[in-house]
Amino acid sequence: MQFNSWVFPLFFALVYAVYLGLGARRVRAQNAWLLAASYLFYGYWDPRFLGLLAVSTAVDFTIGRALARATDDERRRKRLVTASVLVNLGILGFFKYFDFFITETATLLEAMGLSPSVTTLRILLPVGISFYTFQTLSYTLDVYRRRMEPTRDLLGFALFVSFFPQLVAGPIERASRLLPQIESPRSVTASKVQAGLWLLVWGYFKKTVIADQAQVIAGPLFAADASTLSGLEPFTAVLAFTIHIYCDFSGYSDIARGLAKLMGFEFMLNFRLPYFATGPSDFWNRWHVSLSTWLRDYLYIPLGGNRGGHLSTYRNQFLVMALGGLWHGAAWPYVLWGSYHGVLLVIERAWLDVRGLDPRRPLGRAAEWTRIVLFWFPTLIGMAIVRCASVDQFVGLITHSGPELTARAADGLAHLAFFTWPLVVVQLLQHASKDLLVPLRAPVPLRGALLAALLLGMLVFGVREPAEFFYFQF
Amino acid sequence: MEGAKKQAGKTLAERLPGERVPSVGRGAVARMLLVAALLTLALNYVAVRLSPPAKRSFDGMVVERKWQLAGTSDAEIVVVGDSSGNFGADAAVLGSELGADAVNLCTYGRFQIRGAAWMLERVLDARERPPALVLVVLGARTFALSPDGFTFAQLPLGPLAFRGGSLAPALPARHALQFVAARALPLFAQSTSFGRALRTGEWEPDLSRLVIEDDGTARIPAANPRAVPRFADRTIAEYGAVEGDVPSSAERAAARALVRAADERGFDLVFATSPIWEEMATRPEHVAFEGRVRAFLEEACAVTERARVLPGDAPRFSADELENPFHVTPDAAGTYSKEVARRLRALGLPRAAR
Repeated sequence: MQFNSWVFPLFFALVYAVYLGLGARRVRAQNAWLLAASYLFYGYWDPRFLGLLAVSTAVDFTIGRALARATDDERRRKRLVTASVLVNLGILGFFKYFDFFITETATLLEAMGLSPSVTTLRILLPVGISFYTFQTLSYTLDVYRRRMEPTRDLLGFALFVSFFPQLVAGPIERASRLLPQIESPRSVTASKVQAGLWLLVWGYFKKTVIADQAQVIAGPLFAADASTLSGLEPFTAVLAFTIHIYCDFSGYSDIARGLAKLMGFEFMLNFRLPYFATGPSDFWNRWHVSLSTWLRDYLYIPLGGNRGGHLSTYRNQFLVMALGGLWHGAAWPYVLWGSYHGVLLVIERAWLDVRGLDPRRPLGRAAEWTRIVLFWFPTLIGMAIVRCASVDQFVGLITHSGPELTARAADGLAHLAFFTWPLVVVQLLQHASKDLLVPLRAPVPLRGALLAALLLGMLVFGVREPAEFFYFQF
Repeated sequence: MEGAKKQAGKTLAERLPGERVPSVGRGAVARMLLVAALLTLALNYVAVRLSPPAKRSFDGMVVERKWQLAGTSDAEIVVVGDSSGNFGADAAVLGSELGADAVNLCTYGRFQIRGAAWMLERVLDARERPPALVLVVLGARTFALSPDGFTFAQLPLGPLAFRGGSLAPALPARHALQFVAARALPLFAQSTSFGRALRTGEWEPDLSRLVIEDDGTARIPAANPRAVPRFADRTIAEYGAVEGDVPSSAERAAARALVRAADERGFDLVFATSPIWEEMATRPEHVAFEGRVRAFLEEACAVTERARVLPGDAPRFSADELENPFHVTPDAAGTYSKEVARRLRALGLPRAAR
């Protein structure tokens, strides 16, 4: 079930009405209801994969309990957490990467002059598997590291793994943040409802108006043979995709966080104005924060982080980003994209090391804006890498770029400008105030008018055919 | 990445935006929602009063004009169907070739057979005796489209009219909800044309680009051969995306209702394939998809001698005569209509005037 499908509002209205009706005192009844709703939400897409959710839940809950019992037996604890990692990454690896590695190995063998007989399994990727696998893995890892107590509440844990607002595309919540919220009464206050409604409407607006309209520009340009593009057309394609992917993914996160707020939950911030980043490390503090912090805590730091010398830090940064790219998808563009960002991080770090600069030195407004503008160029190149189907297409886009404003480019840029200006205005206000909820500080009539403007914008300009969220494929 | 975080330190933390939930009371939230709801409804009302949907888009104009004709025409030959029939069935040519008045009540594909059935129901309700011949012209692509309540909301009917008449089945719950949303918020139903109008400042369609004759025949001013292959590729992709039965169960029910009505009310019903681009006609995906549609229609018509599928392959045209693989220019519409008339005559239709 997609947030932008017609059935979802009906589904949520029913879920929400019963949830509120049960009342905060009946936490377990509310959790049972949300769990049933979450399984329905996921099963609506393909009921066959509900078993995977249940397996992940059962394995990690059982391992969590076993870790609790093995307090003093470090070898057993290590074996248990290893089992959790193997099961979770095994499921993820099988469904997401098996066909990719088989195909790529065959290609490699063919390049070496061999004729391998290869059979792929044509495995269907369960939607959201990358998200909930990382989420449930964070639980056993945190219990193993004694950062949290293992839960005794199977119902609550099952809800933690499958909670429908963030099940298929995040934010990737940590057990230490979400489980306590699940296990104790939630309060649905007017402030939360207002913030939730804003996030909901703004998220839908970003998805149906900005992202889907940007896709109208980007889709045909990327589908065309790159050699037929000229002038600013490649730039238009990449810019449109850059807007599309951000509004699509952050729109989803906003909707998820809005739904959570309406029910009294708090999800972590997943986007902090990433296109206002002043450099690579700043970008990853702002883009898909729930993934970048997950990779930091469970991969970068265990690898040694920046505790070794310069070279080991650079290696760790690069490795983490390359693997982060692979997390996004079993395809080379994602690996290249992750590696590219790894290289950017290493260059930034090395430059600071060589120059002996203090990264914490304050930036003036002019310096900040100069960096923001300059960092758009590497950002666009990264987006081109991830969107191009092949290296040939990427090279084609670069070699067929020029300064001429062709009619197609002018149309595309005008279309983009028409649909993107609300995003620019709102984000400039958010950036200036450092508050993502700044629109809610306006007087009541203005807030109402703003909501009405967004609703009317969706009515008139929203792409009506439900277009799947881009990050579902991850 | 840890290093990256530390690099930024306090300065980065200061630069990063956060989320400060403002404290408000229930009353303020309720007032905010009230203002939003009132403004949304009021602006919908004003916008539609200033620029009625039927005057703002070609689709709206087609539907309104055809609906009006359906209630007033007494032609013996009635053509219903999708846009391939809208542009392809030249009522004047059909009439002169078959020796009886004809009217073209075709709209466009998203109405599918159900839309044709509602249009025909209006014809039957408005006159004492049924027409002699009802020709249903549908392109294969129509069966790959998903209808929705927004489309049906363009028919000037109240929601109760969609409970299911003698011909057309009731709207399913999802479509009924979309219908209600489209009526409550008419900007939604006409969002494409309204959005275009806002962007371009063109509030009224250029009528020279779409002429609708008194007999309902719509005319495209020019071919668009460059767009035809692209549209064909898209259509093939749409065929591939169809899941389940072809036609869908709702369309099957509507087709069977038409056949039953022909038998009970005493008129001849003929399903005709649309004009088509010659290269599209040979694409294996199209052949397979159209074959599924045709097989069903032949099975549905087999229950009465009053209903049949027009024999022969779809008349083919070059890209120079088309706007898309199914939309012909006026000259080609004449050719198509003559060919359809020839095949109808071969079937002995229309029967002698009653």
